[in-house]
Amino acid sequence: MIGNDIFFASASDLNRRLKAKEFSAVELTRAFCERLEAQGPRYNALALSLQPDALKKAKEVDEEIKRERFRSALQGVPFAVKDLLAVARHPTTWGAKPYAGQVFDTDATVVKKLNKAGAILTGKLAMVELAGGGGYRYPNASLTGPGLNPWDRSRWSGGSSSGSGSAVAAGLVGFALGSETNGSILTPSAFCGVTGLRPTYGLVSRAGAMALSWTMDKIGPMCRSAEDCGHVLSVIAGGDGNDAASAGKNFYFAPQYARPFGEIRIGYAPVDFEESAEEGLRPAFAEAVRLLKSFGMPFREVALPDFPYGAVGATIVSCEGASMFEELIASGKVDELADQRQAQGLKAGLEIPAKDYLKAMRIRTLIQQAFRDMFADIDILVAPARTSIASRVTESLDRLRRGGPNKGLGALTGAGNLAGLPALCLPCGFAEKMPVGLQLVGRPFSENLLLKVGMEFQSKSDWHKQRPPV
Amino acid sequence: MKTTRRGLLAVLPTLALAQQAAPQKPTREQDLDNARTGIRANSEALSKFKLPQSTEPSFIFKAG
Repeated sequence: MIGNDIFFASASDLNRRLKAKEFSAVELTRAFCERLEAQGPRYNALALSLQPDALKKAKEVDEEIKRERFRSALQGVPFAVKDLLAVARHPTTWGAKPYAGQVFDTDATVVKKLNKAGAILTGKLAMVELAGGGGYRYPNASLTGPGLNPWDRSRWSGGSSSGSGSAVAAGLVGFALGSETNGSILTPSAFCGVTGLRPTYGLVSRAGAMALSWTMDKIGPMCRSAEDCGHVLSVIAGGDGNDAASAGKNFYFAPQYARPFGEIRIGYAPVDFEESAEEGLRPAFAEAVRLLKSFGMPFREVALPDFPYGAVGATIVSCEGASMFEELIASGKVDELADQRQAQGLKAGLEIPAKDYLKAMRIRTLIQQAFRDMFADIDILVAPARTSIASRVTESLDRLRRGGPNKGLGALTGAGNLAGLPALCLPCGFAEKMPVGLQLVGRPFSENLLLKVGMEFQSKSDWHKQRPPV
Repeated sequence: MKTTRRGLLAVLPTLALAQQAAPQKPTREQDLDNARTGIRANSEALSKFKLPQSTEPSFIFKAG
């Protein structure tokens, strides 16, 4: 008999309990599928249920577990993926009406890898249309409507991995995959109180994923714990000849071999937590920083070097996104998108002069160099993942995007994405009963270090274990 | 309930406020113009940034 506690168990705990034969993979998969189908629409989180395929796979997994053929820490764990990842012979809509009937012949590389590891794909999760590349005004910029936050359904789940954030928070999946071009894993992770990992650019193959910005897109796990993020990354990471940007590196989840806490140097800017963050969030951030400081890691104050991060990022994403969707724009079908600002933003992206794109890419080289210099003296940068709680679904997103002057590490999300750096979002408390999230950013390929700190943070706190009132 | 002139006068200020509070949704053309304005603003920000001439873009072409 499967109790409700399994819906909020970590992936590694589910795997352990499966091997202990507490329940079968079929029982577990059926329970998660039924919950995803019943509750997913409450949050506009579900794009497509894959229950029949999932149950078939679960039977195979049960046979393997019976024969003690163990594949990975994710074997038998139900998961779902953002609907920009291709699953063969099923619709992959990219969250957008013009692509509602789109079907691919092959699975995305990350889906193949998780399948091979024995994880069980139960569905496709909703997303902001075309990952929001043209710029969108409202949360309902999606084929499936606005992503609703399980903590308060009058609030947005965040985007563009909106369904992934909601599904993990509401216990509809064991874990999910999201993607980030410029905040799309960090934002829903922070707003929904889940642990999300944006890997180093190139560590995880983008083959079979919708491209928004070829030089900025990353696929990453969204889970209930940092440990789970490590297990998922160890499966999905690795070189892929089908991805021109692949770094050709593997990831072995081994946080125990990362340097000791006394030698991990933290860079942070108190102004981010004490001034830039909205007032209601400051107590949660203060508590989180106090907890981090208790690990014995030396802290020092830093600030990002002065670059026009916003202009650089917007130019690159707009240019690459408009090029990717040039045919959609030329055909006029771009006007079928749910969000008009997004449609017009994509059109305008085709008018960006080449000199601007090239200038942005040249400044980007300097940004990368500046981070290399910074990481000579610092190992991890710590900042708020978001400086406000999730907005209301009826509210324009302009307020969320309105940045103040670039103080401290205020532009870290944009800057970190431009430099291809990994980031881990950790739930770190609540404000107005809504989750608050912290981000840890490291040098390229330092995911084990981030996960080591994240796991210690979660061993000494329970914010990541809190459940929304579902 | 009977509508009186006094009753109408009482609600008029509220109606006027409600009309002011509800923002007009931009037209398609306005959104396109706004997007172009944003692009011009980014272009200006980029042009103000001084780069060493030797700085190459952060992508590399490799033959073969």
